[in-house]
Amino acid sequence: MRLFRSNIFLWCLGIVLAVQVYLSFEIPVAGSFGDAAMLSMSGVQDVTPVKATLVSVDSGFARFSDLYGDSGRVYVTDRSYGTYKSSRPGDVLVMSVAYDRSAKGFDLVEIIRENPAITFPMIQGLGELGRNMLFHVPMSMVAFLAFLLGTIYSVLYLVKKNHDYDRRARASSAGGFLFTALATVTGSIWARFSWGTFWNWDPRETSIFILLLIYAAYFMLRSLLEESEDKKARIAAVYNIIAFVSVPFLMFVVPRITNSLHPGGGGTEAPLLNLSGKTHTAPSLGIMFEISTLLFFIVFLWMKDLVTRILRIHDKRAEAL
Amino acid sequence: MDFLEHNALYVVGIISAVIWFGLFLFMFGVERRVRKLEREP
Repeated sequence: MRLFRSNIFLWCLGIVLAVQVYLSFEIPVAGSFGDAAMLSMSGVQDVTPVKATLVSVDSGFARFSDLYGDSGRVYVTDRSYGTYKSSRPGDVLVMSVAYDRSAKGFDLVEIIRENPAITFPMIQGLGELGRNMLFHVPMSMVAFLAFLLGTIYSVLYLVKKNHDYDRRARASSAGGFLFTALATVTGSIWARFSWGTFWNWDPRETSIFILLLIYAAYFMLRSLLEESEDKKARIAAVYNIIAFVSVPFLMFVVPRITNSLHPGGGGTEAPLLNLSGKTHTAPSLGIMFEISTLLFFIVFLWMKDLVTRILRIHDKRAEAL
Repeated sequence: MDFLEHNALYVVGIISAVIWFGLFLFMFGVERRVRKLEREP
C-alpha cells in the first residue's frame, strides 16, 4: 500500500495511537447515585465514581442531579466544603462518593474531575475494567477481519496462481493469529478480575484456544512441506480456506449457544457485538471503541504490508541463488 | 508509593501508550530497512 511509504502518515499514526491508548485510561469512568447505592448495599464496593451536576449548596450538604436526573445529597465535610465553595450551580463534577445508609445520602471521598469534556459509563460489575472493552473487542474484530482477508487472498491465489497473493495470505493470517493472541491475553486479564481466574476453560476460552491451534497448524504445514513452491502454496491456500470455515463458528456461534460466562453467552445480549446489530453503550464509549478498532486495523494493514514485502524480498533472493 | 496508588490509571495509561509507541518505533525501523532492501538491485 502506497500510504505506508509516507513517513508523515506513519508518524501521525504512531502519535494518534499513543494518544488513543492513553485516553482509554485517562477518561474518567462515572456512574449514577443509583449505581453507587446499589454497589455499596450489595457489598461490591464502598466507593463509586459518580457524575452529577451541582444544584445547590445548602447547610450541611450539597444537592446534585445525576445523569439520569435523579437527585442526591452529598454531605459537606470540612474537607469537601472548599471544593463546593469554588463550584457553581450547573457545574458538572465527577466525584468518588460513599453511600451513607443511615443518612440516606452520600459522603464525598474525592473530586476526580470538574466539568469533564467526556466520561465513560459505569458498566455494572465491571467498573474500571470496562476500559478493556477498548482493547479486547477491537483486537478480536481485527483478528476476524485479518482471517477473512487471508482467505480472500488464498482464493485469489488459487484462481490467478500469482505468488504475491500467497504471500499476502500468509501475512494476513499471521496478523490474524497475532491479534487473536492479543485478544486472548487481554480477555484473560479481564477474566482474572471478573471471573476470578486467568483461565477456566470457559466455552469462549476453549473455542479461541482451538482457533489458535487451527492457525498454528497452518503455519506449521506451510513450513514443514517439502514440495515445490507452487504445490506448497496450493496446499496452504486450500487449508487456509478450510480453516476460515471454523472462524465464525468458533468466534461467534460457540459462545452464544453454550452457557458461557462471556457477554453474549447463555442467551444474554453482548453490549457491542450482538444479533440485533445495536450498540448497547453510551456514545462516548461507542465512539472511542470505533476509533480503537480503526487504529488497530490500520496497524494490522501496515504489519501485513511489511510481512508481504519481507517475503517478497526473501523469495526474490532465493530465486537469484 | 502514594503517588502510584493515587495515580494508578495515569501510570497504566502512560505505560500502555509507551508500549504501543515502542511497537510503532520498532515497526518504523523495520519499514526503513525494508525500503532500503527494496531499493537494492
